[in-house]
Amino acid sequence: MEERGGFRKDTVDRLLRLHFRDARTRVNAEAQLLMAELLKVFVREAAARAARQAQAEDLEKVDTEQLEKVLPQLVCGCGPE
Amino acid sequence: ERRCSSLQHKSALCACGTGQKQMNSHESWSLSPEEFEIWDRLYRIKESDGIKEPVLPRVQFETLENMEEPAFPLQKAQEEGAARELSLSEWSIWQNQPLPTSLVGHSDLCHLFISAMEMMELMRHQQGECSYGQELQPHLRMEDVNIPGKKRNLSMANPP
Repeated sequence: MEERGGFRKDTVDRLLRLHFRDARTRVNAEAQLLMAELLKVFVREAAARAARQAQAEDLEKVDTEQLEKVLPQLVCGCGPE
Repeated sequence: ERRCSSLQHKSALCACGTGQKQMNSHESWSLSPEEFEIWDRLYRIKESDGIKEPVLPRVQFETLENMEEPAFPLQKAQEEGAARELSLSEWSIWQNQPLPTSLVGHSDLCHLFISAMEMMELMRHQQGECSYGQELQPHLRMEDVNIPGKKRNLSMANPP
């Protein structure tokens, strides 16, 4: 089930719980899996966009600068709308 | 907003997790010893790397009382100049057109942001009368706006 390179359910659960205000808040297994997938998509999207930006600048290596350029549009709309 | 801060926590968490002993099981939430070794060797930013630890800007409301959040190790590092805060505004001239996407398309909010940046870019070179104001002024209906008796807005006081 868990693809290599993805987030483990336990890790996701731990990360989410770290930020819940109410200690009684729980996440069921399916939601954990979905959240793991979401996190993977987010990481991949960030990496792919930054890589594309480096490509556009004719660079062979992605640096913080390329990430910074794609960051506003990457995070814009990730929050509640 | 919460997502931004959670990324910060996440990197801090890796550092905390290494102190735990329950790392032998691959089922557990933290890195296994093998994974830890790989992270430590390939990805972990060390002092000798000469790179500053990237951190995201913290949310601050100018007009509201800000909730005190405990300082995380990375924030301390930042105060000591060992971290680099990622900027969301340094490349603003890049933002007036949609940048390429991979699997996730731009959201409506993102398109609004891009349009606003484009509008600002156009207005940057404007002198004198504001074209946006001129464009909207004829459509102003006084019954739509709430103007408290005495405090009349300056632009309202002299219609064209």
